[in-house]
Amino acid sequence: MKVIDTRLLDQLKELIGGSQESLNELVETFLIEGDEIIADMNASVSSQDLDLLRRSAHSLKSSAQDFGALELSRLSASLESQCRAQWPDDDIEQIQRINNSFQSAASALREFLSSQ
Amino acid sequence: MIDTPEQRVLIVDDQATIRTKLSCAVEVLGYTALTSVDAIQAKKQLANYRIDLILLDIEMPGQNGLELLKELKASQQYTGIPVLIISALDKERDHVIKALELGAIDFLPKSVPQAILRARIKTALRIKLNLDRENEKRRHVKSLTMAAALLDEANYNPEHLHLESTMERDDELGRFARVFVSMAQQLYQRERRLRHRIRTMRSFGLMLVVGALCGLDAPLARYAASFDAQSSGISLWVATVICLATLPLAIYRRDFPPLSWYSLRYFMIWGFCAVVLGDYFLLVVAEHLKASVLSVLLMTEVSMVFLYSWIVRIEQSTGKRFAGLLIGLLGVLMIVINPDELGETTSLTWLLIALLVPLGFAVIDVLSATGRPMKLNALTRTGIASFFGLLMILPIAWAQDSFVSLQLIPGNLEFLILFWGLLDTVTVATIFIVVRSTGAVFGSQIAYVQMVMGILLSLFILGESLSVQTWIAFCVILVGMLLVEPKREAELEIPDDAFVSIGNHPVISKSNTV
Repeated sequence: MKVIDTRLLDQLKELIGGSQESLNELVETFLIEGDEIIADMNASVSSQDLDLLRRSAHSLKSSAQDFGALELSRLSASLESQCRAQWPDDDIEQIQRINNSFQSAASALREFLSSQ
Repeated sequence: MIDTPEQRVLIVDDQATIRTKLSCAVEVLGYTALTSVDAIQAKKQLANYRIDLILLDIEMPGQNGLELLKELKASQQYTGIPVLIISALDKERDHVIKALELGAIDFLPKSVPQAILRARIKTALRIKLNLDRENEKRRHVKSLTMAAALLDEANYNPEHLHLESTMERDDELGRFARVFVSMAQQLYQRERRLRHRIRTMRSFGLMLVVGALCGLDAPLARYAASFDAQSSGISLWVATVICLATLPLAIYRRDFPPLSWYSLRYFMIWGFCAVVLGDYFLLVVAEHLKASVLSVLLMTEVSMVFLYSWIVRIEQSTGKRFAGLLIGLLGVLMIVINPDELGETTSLTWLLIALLVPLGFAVIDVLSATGRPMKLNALTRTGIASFFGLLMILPIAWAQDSFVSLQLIPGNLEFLILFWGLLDTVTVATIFIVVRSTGAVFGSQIAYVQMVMGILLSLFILGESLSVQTWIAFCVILVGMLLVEPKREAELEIPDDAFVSIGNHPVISKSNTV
């Protein structure tokens, strides 16, 4: 399975007017914010803040979808869904999987951009 | 009219990625994008800019999107701004339904294709534009309705109608407003002309009556001289009658002047001119001059007022008016140098002293015309001024030991004092009203009528006679006064071209149409 669905990236590029420069800027924003969101997820575990964990998963889910990181989006959506009911049992493991998926997506995005 | 200038879209989302993405997308579509990370920042942006559309995220820390939406829709100021919710319908169905119920016009998927984004933003902005146009039209209809209500209350002043922006409209409503204002303008001018005519006629009428009453002054003073009583004593009683006739009423009505140095000075000068110069000096000179000569001299009040008005430029001065002033003074000079009219004394001093009396009246005219406005009844003013005059005449009466004892059973002297006091009360208060509404120069022309009345009474009641030279002098003074002429306008008319055009639209006038 491909880490990045490039058709969605093309759709995003079209949405922002087809400018490669704007797309690069947008990807950089996503990568910086993604790191912050994962840091928030880890912080929510320490403080047992269920709402912060759910909102973090929600945010990453939406952005990941935009950048074609479908696996990352799916994992985030699953965590968000579980957080609506109660604190997930395997919280650490799920966050770890999300982090791994994000790192893979980040590498793939940088590779994709450098190839443009 | 509403045009489509820069249209601003406010994006409210806590995620920097979404804000940046939508901001780029909105700018690409030709709109101006503003962004806010939360509800607090969004409200600041709303306060600082005219916003045409809000793209609102639901999941936000602090006040979430639904709470902010509810607040906006409850606000009269922001309820008209369309809101598009940023949400995925499949995952957040309940939130989307709730947002639509609260007043959001549609939702926008987070991963939205450009075509859908463009279509939804355009639709939302069109709704906003139509709503703004409708609101503006409603506002203009309301302005017209209020203007019609004003006309119904006979308030025809076009400046009070506040239809300037309605008249700028290019549609039928604007045309209607222009016709409406034009008709109001015509009505207003007609009403003002009529009001001016009525005021002038009323002032003339009042002037004739007051002048006739004032004309009694010189013969009365001459008659008073026949009593064995000092002038200061009679003046004291006359001032007392005026105070008794006016001040109790002023106290009852709580009609008091403001306590200030200005008020004190104002009433002291008025009191001095009315009681000391106007009554006491009149009585003093009446013992030495014929009432008819005195009446002619009193007429110089007009020239004195005109001279003052000319110097301080409170009224228009023309060569004609100035020539009238000089001719009037020439007439006075003819009397002064005429030994036949010097009466019991051969000294010119009494004639010159007599000129202090019209000087006092002239000062009162100027005070009435130029004094700072005070919410005070004319009778109260007369009473307070007379009270101060009474305080000034008191030491003179005391020094001359001339206090007049009145009899319990009133005789001629008592009736004279009572009549004179009441006469002064009515005339001084009425002169104030006339001068206040028509100007000092116009009002001072009461002296014309006063002179004619004074001479007639002197000739037919006191049995005096005037020499030919005095009659000539009288005619010369009369010619001079006619040249001084009344102040032309009691109230300025609106110039005919004041409302000819407003904005770029010509207004219908008497002779043309739009």
